[in-house]
Formats: sequence, structure tokens, C-alpha cells
Amino acid sequence: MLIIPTLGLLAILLFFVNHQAGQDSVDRWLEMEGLDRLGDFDDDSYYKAYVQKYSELGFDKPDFYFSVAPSNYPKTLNEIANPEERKELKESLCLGYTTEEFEKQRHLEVFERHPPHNSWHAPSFRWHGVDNQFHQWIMTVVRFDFGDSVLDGRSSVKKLWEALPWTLSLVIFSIILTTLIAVPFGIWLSGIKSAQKRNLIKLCSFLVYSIPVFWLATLAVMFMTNSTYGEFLHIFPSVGVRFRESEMSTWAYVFSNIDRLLLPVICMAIHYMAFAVVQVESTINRQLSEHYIQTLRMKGINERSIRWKYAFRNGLIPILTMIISGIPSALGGSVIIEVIFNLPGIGRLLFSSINAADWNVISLVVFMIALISIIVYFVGDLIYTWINPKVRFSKTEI
Amino acid sequence: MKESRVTYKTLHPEGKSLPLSLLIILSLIGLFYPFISNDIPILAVDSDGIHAPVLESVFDRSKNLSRESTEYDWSLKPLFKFSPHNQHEQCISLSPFSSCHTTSSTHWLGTDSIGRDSLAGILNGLYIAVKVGFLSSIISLIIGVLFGLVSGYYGDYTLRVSRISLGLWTLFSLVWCYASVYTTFLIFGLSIWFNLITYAIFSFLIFYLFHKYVGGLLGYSVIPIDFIVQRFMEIFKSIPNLVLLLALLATLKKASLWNVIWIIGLIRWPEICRYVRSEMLVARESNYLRSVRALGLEDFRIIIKHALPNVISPVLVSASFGFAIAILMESSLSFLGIGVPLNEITLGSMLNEARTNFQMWWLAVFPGLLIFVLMSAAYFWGQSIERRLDHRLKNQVMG
Repeated sequence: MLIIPTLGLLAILLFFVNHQAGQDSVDRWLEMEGLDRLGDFDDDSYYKAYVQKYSELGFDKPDFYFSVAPSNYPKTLNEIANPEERKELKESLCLGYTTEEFEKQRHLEVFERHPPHNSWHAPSFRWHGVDNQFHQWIMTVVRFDFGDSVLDGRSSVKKLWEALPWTLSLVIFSIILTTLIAVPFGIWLSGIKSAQKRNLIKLCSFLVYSIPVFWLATLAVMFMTNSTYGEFLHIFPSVGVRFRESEMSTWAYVFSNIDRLLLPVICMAIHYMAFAVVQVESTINRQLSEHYIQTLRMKGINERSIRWKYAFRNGLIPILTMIISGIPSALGGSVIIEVIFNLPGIGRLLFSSINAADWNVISLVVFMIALISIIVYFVGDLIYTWINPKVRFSKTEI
Repeated sequence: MKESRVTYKTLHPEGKSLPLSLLIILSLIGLFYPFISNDIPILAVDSDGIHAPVLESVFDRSKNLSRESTEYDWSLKPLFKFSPHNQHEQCISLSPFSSCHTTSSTHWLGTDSIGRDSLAGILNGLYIAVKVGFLSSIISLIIGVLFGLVSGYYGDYTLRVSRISLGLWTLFSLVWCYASVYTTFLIFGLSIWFNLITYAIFSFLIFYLFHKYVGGLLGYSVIPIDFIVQRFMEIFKSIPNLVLLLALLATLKKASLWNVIWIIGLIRWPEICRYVRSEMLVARESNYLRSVRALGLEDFRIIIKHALPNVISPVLVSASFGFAIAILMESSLSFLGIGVPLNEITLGSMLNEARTNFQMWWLAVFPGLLIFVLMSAAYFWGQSIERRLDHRLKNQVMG
């Protein structure tokens, strides 16, 4: 139930990640704006552009609301844009030099000629106020404005918004397919009398469950989406999506490509179906050993009704929990499926932004996926407590 | 109690277990892969005496010992005459059971687009998969069992720590953080491991010594460690595994296999912790633990000597599932090309190559088949242990 602390902790972790990686991305921004001759700090024009971009991105602000540093440090080391200079200054300050002495001997070889001595300058407390990187980051998260992507300069929230319908439709379709096929199959399986046949089917579904999803998808793409192995196998359309006609909203784009979604949904759903069949069957069996089933049998209701109407209704709660917890796993599995089938969803966005070290988009996507998972678990808890009549009618607090 | 211990019989039900033997055989094949498929001989005799080139290349990776066999008087060659990393430009994209012009032996499973033998690549991939699986399972076991034991045994109300120790430890941690950031440790090159290990030693000394001698002076306070560990576990559980894995790997600049092993281990520990904690909650109320506490033993001894052997059994089930999932994660990572170094030939990277070249079906079928066999063997073994333990517990409760 503690959504806010979990999200808050995640935001703090993402801050550390962004803080380290973002300072390396100044070069990427400059490259995107068309500057060449990167990395050469002696070049005046590059140095000026670097310093300007560095302060524009906000890296010259202090790290946190306050800092406890030795008293020979300047107010904040972050004002120095050049990372090598910053490192040199930090090392010399550690060794006890004051800032004026560093101005005199800027180069490292001079620095090495003077052997280090341990001088422990007393720690001092400096208050930086609201103008610091951490505060900027928290405001970014709260306002949900993660900045622009380094790859093409568009706003990262816009990129996410365009990619979200693909993943959502993939996940929703595969959950629906799993529910429609696996749940009746599981109930039918629990009614099979011969234990040998039942165990054989359970063994088969366990084997299907342990097939890696990306292997199945790669085989499907290789054999069934092209004519290399014969025209009769070319059942599904080729991977990728059709070109987007202008003035089409994203949902209309998704629905125009719905035949391309068929094979990805099948590949994803097979894995969950195998898991769901075994779970449903064990849930129904557990229900069948309860006392009320004995009462129903004494009343004369036939076995088929018992399983499909009564045991299923009471076993709905664990089944629903399993289905709802399948949504976050489907989000995780969508990364691989979208990369294989070249669908422009969240998974492929994450993959391409990791390859390009595009930290704004990476933070946004990870945060979004965590947010969706937490909300789904929360809603699942709510549904579970609402559906369970014992809780609904008993007036105890959740 | 003794019934639920993990014994030899639990691991080998009725003496025969197909999944376990399959796992052991595949692990051994993976571990000894340089001896099975290599282009340098295992043992060679020439005018200088007896050499063992394969052993030399294993212990010293930089040596390149692929000499032609005609230079040796007598040599004992491995079973398959190709090494995973050697490329022959004339032999690209061969289908299975074909042989190339330059060498006389057949490529049993074909070659890939730059001429590396596919069978040797599969064996190399098997080695990496087994290595990642074992090591990350061990890491997640250690962390998960530690946290599970402590949070299950102490619960929310039992862990009493003396306030002097707590205050001293907080002060000490702050000073340590300040010192490790702002002083000469960084310059003299003392690594972060040294820092962490000395920190752990000092914390242990503070808690142990002070607790013994000066502990009671300011009274004790209760730490709700169960609550803390559960919130911690929830963070890991609420984000999908693969997404968390990708995000954590993207922060590390260097792509190395050890990073992957550590991070998979750090992601999988909540599962094991959950099992250990629930077993511990049951065991806490049982008679044998109560009697040992009544005897007055210290908590540490009770946990390690008496509780741990009895709660470890479901952990083995979870560890076998964790092994399978670690293999799956590592293959997914090398399939995507993130985290695992790109010059390593693993099962996932062979699948990735097959994804773009449709006519090389042998690159997709055989590595994937091997992943499938490994994972299903691990799952079935875990299931058989689970069934075995369930039977024993049921018999114990009834009779």
C-alpha cells in the first residue's frame, strides 16, 4: 500500500543514475547541435560552447540542499565545467592545498613534485537552498517533464506517449487471449479422471512454459514470416509496421496495423497460457477438496456444474490475482518481443535509448513502467478485497 | 524436523533423476568445453617433451597456441576440431554436416556468417550460461537467506539493539562517508572493497563489543526489521525483472560478464528471501525452537545451528528456479546485445545473428534448443524436489 515511498525511492535512485550519466551527455547534446571537434578543451570555441551547455543543462548547480565538505573547498566544485580540471582540483584539495595554491600550479606534473601530506581541514556545513540539482530532478519527476531526447531532440514524454498504445494493446490482447483460452482449458483439465492423462498434459504445458519466449519468437519470425522455407509456411506478415499516414492518431495507427500484432500476441500469450493452465488446475483442485463441494454433491448437482459454476467462482480470487500480476511481467517481456517484431512500443524505446545512452528517455521509461506496475498491483489489491465477500461485508479496514 | 532436512535422498529421489543427471552432464560439458572442442590438442608430444596446450590456454588466456598438428610428433586431439573464436573467411554460412575446403573435419552444426563453428559456439555459450547461472544463484542465495533468516526470526518486535551501539554506529557511518569521499583514501588507490570490508568489520565490532560491555547504559530500542526488509523486497518486486536488469546494466559503463552476474544475483534475492522468511515464521512457533530458546542460547547460534538447516529445504526449490531464470536473463541480455560483451559468443548472441539471416536456421534452432533443455531440466528438478518435500511434510504432519 505504500506507493509513494516506493516511487520516491525509485526517483532518488534514478537521480543518482542521472547525475553520473548526465554529465557525460553534454558532448552528446553538442554533437546533436552540430558542433564538431569534441573533447578538445584547448579549443576555445569548443570550451565556450561546452561551458554554456553545461550551465544550460543545470550541472553547475550544487548537488543537494546542503553539503558537508572540508573548509578548503570552494562553495561548490560543480562550477568547473571541464571534468579533468575538476578532478585535479578535487585531488589537490584532498591533499590539503588551498584554492589559491591550485591556481599557481595547475598542471599535474608540478603537483606530483610536491609529495602529499595529510592535512585534515575541518568539515564545514554549507547550505545551498532550493537551487540544486536534486530539487530540479524532483520537480522534473513531479511535473513529469523529463526533458528532450538526445537522439532526435523531441520531448521524451511525447515519444513515450506515442509508444504507449502499442505496448498497451500488446499486453491487453495477450492477457485477454490467455484468459479466454487457458482458464477454460484448466477447468476442463481438472475434470479429467485418469491421473496419467492429466499428468501428461501438465507435463506438456510445463515444457511449453520453459520454452524461452525469444527463441519461440525468433523461430516464428524465421520460418513463418517469409518465404525462404516455402510459400506454404508464409502465414504471417513480415515484421515491422506499415508506414504511418499523416494525420492519423496513434490509436488509429495501431488499429490499422492490427494484423502485425497477431504473431507477437501469440508468442507472448503461449508462455502465460502454459503457466495459467497449471495454476488454474491446481486452484480448482484445491477448491474441490473443500466441504461445500461435498454438500453440493449431496444435493445432487452434477460434477460438471460443480466445477464450472461453483468451484470456479470461489477459485476466481487466486486466478484473478495471477492474471493481474501477469501485466507487469508482460511489460517486461514486451521489451524482447518488440525488438524482435520491430513494433514501436515502450520496450523498443527502452532498448534504443539504452543503446544511444539517452538518459532522459531511459529514466522516463523506467519510471513509467514502475509506475504502471505499482498501480496495477494496487488496483489488483483493491479488486481482490472488493470481490471477496468476506471482506466486503465485514467492515474491517483494508 | 529431521524429515524436512535436505539429504542425499531429497536430491536424488529413488536414486534416479533424469533432470538432475541432465543438468550435471550439461554443466560438466560446459565447464570442460576447451577439452571437447578446440583446434589445439589436449596433449602433445614433440621434440621438447610433453605439452598440454589446452591447459596452458585455459590458464593463460593471452597465449595463442594454434599450431598446425604436423609440428607435433604425436598429439591427442579434442573431439571436435574447432575453437569458438577462430574465423575462416572461406567457410562462411555453411549448413550442418558440411566441411570446408581448408580443413578436413566437418562442421557438424554449420558455421555462422563470419566462419566460426556453430557447435564450438554452442559449447562456449553453454559454459557462459552455466557459469552465470551458478554464480548468480549463489549470490542471490547468500543475500536472500541472510535477509530472510533475520527478518523471519526477529519479526517486528524482537530485535533489541542498545541505544549506545545504535548512536555510535550512526556517528561512525557518517564519519566514514565523509572520510571516503573527501580524504586521501581515494588518491592512494585503496579500492571500494577495502572501504566496505573495513566498514563491515568496524560495525560488527561496535555492535558486538559494546553490546556486551556497555550496552545497557542508555536502554534498548526495538528495530522493526521485518517491516524494513519487506519494503525493500517490494521495491524489487514491483518493477519487472528485465526492465530493472536493463536499467541497472545501463548505468555501468563497462560491459563485462561479472557485472551481469552480480546484477542478476541482486535482482533475484527477494524470491529466496520470501521463501526463507515464510518458513522461518512457521518454524519460530515450533517446539524445538522454543525449547532451544528456553535453554538460553544466543540468537545467533539458534539461527545458524538450529533454524537454518530446517528452513533451507524450500530454498533449494527456489534456487533451481532461479538458476533457470538466470540462464534466461543472460540469454536475453546477450540477445539484445546489452551488458554482455559483444565479442563473447553466447547462446543469445547466436540467436541474435539468426534473427537477421533467415536462411541460417541452424543458428536459431540449436542454441535455443540447448537453452530450452537447460531450463526445463532445472524446472523439472525443482518440481521433483518440491513434490518430495511436500510428501515428507504431509507424512510428518499426519503420522
